[in-house]
Amino acid sequence: MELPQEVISTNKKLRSRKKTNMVNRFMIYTALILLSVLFIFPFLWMIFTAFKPENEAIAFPPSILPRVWDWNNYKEVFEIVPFATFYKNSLLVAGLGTFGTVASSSLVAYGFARIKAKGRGFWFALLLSTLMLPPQVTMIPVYVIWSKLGFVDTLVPLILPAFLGNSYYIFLLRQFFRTIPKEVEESAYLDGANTFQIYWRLILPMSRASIITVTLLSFMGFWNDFMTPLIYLHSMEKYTLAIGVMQFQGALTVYWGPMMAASTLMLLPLIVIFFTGQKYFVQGIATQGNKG
Amino acid sequence: MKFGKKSLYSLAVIGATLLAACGNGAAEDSSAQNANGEETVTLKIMTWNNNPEGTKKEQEIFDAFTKEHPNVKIEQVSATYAEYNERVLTMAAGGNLPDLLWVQPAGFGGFVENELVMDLTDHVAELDVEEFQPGVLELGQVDGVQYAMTRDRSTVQIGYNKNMFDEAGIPYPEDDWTMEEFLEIAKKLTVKDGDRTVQFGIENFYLKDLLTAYGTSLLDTETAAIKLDDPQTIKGIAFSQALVNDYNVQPTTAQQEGLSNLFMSGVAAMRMTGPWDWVEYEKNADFEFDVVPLPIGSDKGTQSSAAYLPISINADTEYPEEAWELLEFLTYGGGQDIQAEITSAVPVVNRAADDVLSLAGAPENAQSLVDQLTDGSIVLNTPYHPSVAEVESKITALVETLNLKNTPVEGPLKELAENLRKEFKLD
Amino acid sequence: MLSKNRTKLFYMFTFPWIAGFLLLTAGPMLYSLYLSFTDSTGFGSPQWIGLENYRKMFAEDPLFWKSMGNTLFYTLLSVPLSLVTGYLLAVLLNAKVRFIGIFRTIFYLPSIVPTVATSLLWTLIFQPNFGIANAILDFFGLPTSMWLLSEQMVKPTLIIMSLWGIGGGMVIYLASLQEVPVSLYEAAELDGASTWHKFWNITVPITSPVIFFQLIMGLIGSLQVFTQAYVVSSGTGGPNYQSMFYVFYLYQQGFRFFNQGYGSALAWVLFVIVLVLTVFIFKFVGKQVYYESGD
Repeated sequence: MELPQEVISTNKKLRSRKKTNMVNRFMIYTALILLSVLFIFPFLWMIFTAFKPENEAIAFPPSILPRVWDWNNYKEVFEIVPFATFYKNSLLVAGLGTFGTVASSSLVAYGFARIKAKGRGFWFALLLSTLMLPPQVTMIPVYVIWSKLGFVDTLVPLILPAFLGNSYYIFLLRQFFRTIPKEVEESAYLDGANTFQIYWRLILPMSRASIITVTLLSFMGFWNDFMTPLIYLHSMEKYTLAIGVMQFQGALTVYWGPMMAASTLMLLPLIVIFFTGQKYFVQGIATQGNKG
Repeated sequence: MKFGKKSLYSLAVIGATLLAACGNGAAEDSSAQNANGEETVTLKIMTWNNNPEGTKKEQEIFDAFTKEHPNVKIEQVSATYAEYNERVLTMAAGGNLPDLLWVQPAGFGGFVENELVMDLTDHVAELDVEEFQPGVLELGQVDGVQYAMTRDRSTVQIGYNKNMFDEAGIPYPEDDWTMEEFLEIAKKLTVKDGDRTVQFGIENFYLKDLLTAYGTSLLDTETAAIKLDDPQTIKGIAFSQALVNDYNVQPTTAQQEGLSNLFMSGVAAMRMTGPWDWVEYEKNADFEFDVVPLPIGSDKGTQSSAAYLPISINADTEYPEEAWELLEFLTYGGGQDIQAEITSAVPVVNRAADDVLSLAGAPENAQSLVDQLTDGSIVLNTPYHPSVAEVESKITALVETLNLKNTPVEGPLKELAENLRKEFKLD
Repeated sequence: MLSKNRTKLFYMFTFPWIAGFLLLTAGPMLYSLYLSFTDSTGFGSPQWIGLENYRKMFAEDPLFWKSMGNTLFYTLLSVPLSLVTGYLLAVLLNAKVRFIGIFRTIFYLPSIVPTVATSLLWTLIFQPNFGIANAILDFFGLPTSMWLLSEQMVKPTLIIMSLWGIGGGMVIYLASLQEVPVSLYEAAELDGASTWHKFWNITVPITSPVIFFQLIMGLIGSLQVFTQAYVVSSGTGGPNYQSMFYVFYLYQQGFRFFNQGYGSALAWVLFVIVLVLTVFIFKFVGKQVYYESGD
């Protein structure tokens, strides 16, 4: 039987697509590998320095690979400061904080994205304006508020605000939510769903990639933030990793060996988390609700 | 259903707060009854880390105090050196500044002007001031009023690589060597390999310390008047420029960029150093080092700037008596006798001056430092005025630019001096 | 349903943020505005001095203009640069090849390595005498540079350094690329569309809401840049104030020189500038953004 003309030409196109795929692949890999070398360098240098004794770490001319792979710096880190406690505190702050951020920001973002109301524009403008004032100037008044409430030297000022939404992520998620076709929600309303159900059962699953992004970025943000813990935490047992690492920056000198070791230890969980999370960035899954 | 989810959400917020508040110690009362019915007082003192183990070591000294005063516990509120001012500002604004605080000299003028710290004059009157090494008490005074006590005072000296001197056949410098002799030695120890300098005579003769050796300073240490265009100051700045550009005995900013410690890596023969560095050299340097006071640059004899740690009491502390007892211990009493061994801090009382000789890593000529502690050659080089930080940053920026471009200094310096006088009203 | 006015519902959804704003943000913002009209040092009681801070800023403070100029220069160059490179990188990392996860992690890494750890590395790379940067230029017979020590080159060098941190933006673009329906590409291919055509007419429009977000946030972020410069110049903003960015100057005034009143005034001037620029971008670029909902 003769195949219809369209099928023949489509098959031809598909076959030639396979061939260009090979060329494409090669080009992609080359670009990736070249750029990777460039990008991974700071990280590698940090790790290598962590294995060097202090006089090699600051040697001139600088060496790249350590002469000997010395674990001493790592030992020192755990001996000199309560590093394990720092891990615990960071996990608590970043874990709870991320949960709070994602939960509250997505809720608020949906409100801005899809719920028409009087005053929506006004509040949105206000939201954006909170991002425009450098945080350094509100640092002290905010501290005074927490101080009057009695929460200085606790983890509360680090975690609680997360549950009240984060302007940056609210704006981001609002943009993402607005890319979802209205018809999806309209038909759900016709089926009798209320707004919250739509948000919870429809929008969120469809926004998997953006929610994961906010989760990842938010976690990294909490983990690496040192200004807030610096201001609010006074006793070493409450310190997070971010300030813990700064203990290796003395008044007059930086202790490079142990500091790099501490930084590496601080970074490792982030790498694992990111690598796990980015697996969910797979195209096409998010659009399953789209057809029909 | 949505209300159900809403209350779930609120519960989560409350739960998180409670959980986090579990780590809360803020509502603690810092005074309680102990077993004897005596009041237990917890004093808070704000410190920074001089090195990673700093906080732990300081606590040992504080614990020694608690041994003598069992009803007083000491808690450290430790901050980072670079962000110390933020801490003080926020805590002062929030009303929870600790009872005592270490002070960075650059911020001292501001603290005093804003009435943050307690007047200690009456307390000091009860002490035997002869106990203190010359010049120590003045370090904590502003306009003659005592606002801080110093627990640690030493100075910068020139540290040198004995091996390099030996190889070049140069005799070690004498304690009273002059600026000219210094320059000669630095030139001999600067080695070039073709176009590149592979060894420098001196790593870093910091400008302010150079000026002190010249018997002058950027601002008058008593009145804060601008001395930038003083002939002696201009001479010093010109010399500093020449070290780098004309004689090449000191690396340029470009040559030094990214390098942490040329002296330790064996690239510089001399370095500005102090007893706080001795431990590092002993541990990590692969050569023998010794120290000598700064070379003499004026008819005032040896002059070098004080490196010191003032400690103040919060003017609003709830426990002024206990706070003073601690301060006295740290700067005059038992603390002085143990601090050298525990944290390598240099004592300020005469009776313990010799402890310097047994500091970790102390070199052969450590006696020269002991001599300096008691002979009055250590001076303040910066006045306590709130505008000092800003003025100095403008001066530094200009000097750096002049050095980078190697342009004559006299004109621009005079011009800047005039402008500074007008802007900050410092004449 | 979606076009109805649902005020009460709106406030229920946005209530956490509004509450937070009223409790924790509004007060401090207004307080800092108040401080800008005083001579506050950060301690004690501030005295009202009216517009004196603002007058001094515009009429007598060359560093205000210098730092503003530095910041605008930086913003003008780095925002478009990071927007484009971040996006292209994300497109590259969207490829369905093996080990793409590892590559994505590698490109994301520099943006989470602590600044202090990398600052030394950067000074070594850009070392005029033995750094890799000049070594490479030398190899190709190109003129070398003083990089961070050169008055002309310090800002471009800082911009180059900032490109290492595009990982964060890349992740956001990557997420938005997932939302582009594969079916659209397939349909376009069957119609014989070229790669460029697919990119420009499908990918970019569908991801434009997120590109827009990055543009706005990139603008706001660059106008507030300072940490990297602070660390690399050892807190001086040199050479000759060429790396003194606006927020750096603000921070120095407020926290090093105890001029909180003046620092607050500087902050609010920046606020106004950012606000004006943002409104401008919303009005002119905002129209080009394609929202699937047709909003």
